[in-house]
Amino acid sequence: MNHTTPYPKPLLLLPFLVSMLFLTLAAQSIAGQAAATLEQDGQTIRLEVSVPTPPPTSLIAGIKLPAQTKIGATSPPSAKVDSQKAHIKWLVKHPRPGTLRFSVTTSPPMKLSSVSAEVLFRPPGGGSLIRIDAKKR
Amino acid sequence: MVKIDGARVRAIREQKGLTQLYVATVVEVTTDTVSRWENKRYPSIKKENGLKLAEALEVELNEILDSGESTVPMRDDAGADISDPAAEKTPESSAWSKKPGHLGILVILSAMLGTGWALVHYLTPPAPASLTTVTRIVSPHFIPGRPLPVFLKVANPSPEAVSIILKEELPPSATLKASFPSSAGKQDGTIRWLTQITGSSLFYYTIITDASFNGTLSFSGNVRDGHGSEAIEIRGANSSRAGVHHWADSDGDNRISDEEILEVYDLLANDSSAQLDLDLLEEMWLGDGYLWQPEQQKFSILE
Repeated sequence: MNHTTPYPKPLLLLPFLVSMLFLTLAAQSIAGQAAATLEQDGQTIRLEVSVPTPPPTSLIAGIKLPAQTKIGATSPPSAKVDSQKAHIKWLVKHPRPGTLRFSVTTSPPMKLSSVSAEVLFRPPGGGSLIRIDAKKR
Repeated sequence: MVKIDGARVRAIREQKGLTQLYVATVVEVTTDTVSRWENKRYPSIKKENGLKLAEALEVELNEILDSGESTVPMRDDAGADISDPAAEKTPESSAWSKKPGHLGILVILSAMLGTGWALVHYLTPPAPASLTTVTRIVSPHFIPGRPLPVFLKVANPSPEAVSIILKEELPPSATLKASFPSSAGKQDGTIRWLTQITGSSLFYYTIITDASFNGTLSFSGNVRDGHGSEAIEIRGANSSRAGVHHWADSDGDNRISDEEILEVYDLLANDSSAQLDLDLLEEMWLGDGYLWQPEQQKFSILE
């Protein structure tokens, strides 16, 4: 009795090749993704933003504190501060791929659970606005 | 064939500020050919090229024809006039007509040629339109007396560089303040770029109206590339109305939102030659809103 496989042998490699291609594309996608993380160090709230490759033309990073929070120093200093809503925003023009760091000091110290942050940008070459919520550490 | 007046062609071209390269690109010939036409080295050209030449010069065909002669007779390789019935009266043609057998072959050949021409004429697809597409982005409103940018997003699917001629008619009530790329030429209320693009490119210009203007500006334009012989209209927004809202405030809510300022920076990217006050725009974004003060002709920013 003939037990030969019904498929030509080269086709057996197809699932393996497709898997490799998928893994490669996934790795490239992760490398090029934007991300944001939020952490607390005493009275300071820090936001770290990973700028994707290729970078957007400009981006806005924002931190939202509980209303009426007393906002102290911000870094970088040129930020849009809405004291009533306790919102801080930075407009970054021509960011480079890598990590951008933003921080704000508050009084009294905030619980990280009551703080949120987001990053807004348009992908290079056009497209709809991308909004990324920061993950808390 | 038509007989053109080379000196007249040159005069019109120079009067309109057009380059030989521009004309050559529109007619789809080389600059050498245009030069030869202008120097009367080839006064008789194909009628199709004559029509394209007239189009490039933005005149009627008869304005560039040699005075008194609209067409010249077509001649065969031997110089015999084949468009004039009298030309048939050559010794050779007379000999042909005297031989019935030869006449029959001539009729059959003529019929075959006619059928072939008809097949080619009806089965050949029409001249292709440009592959390049252009989308106009202009705010639905603007403040009279303040600069208004008009963006033209040009896209071509070809991975190779493509020559394009991009034309945009300026609204009669507006004055051109700046253009990018600055190589644009302006003539008779039309701004035009002759350049090469690869993939997508952004062109823009800034216009300004009189402060007392109270109406709507209408925009129109077209693009032609080396792939197609037909110009195609620019798509997208085609009007902007005078009002009290900043052009970047696209939803007219008297504040510059995150989305709106990001869109402006994305469009302008690295260029600041548009004579647009981006610092003011950023101040508006930083503030809680803005109001236009028509008496003082300035914005007040709400804190």
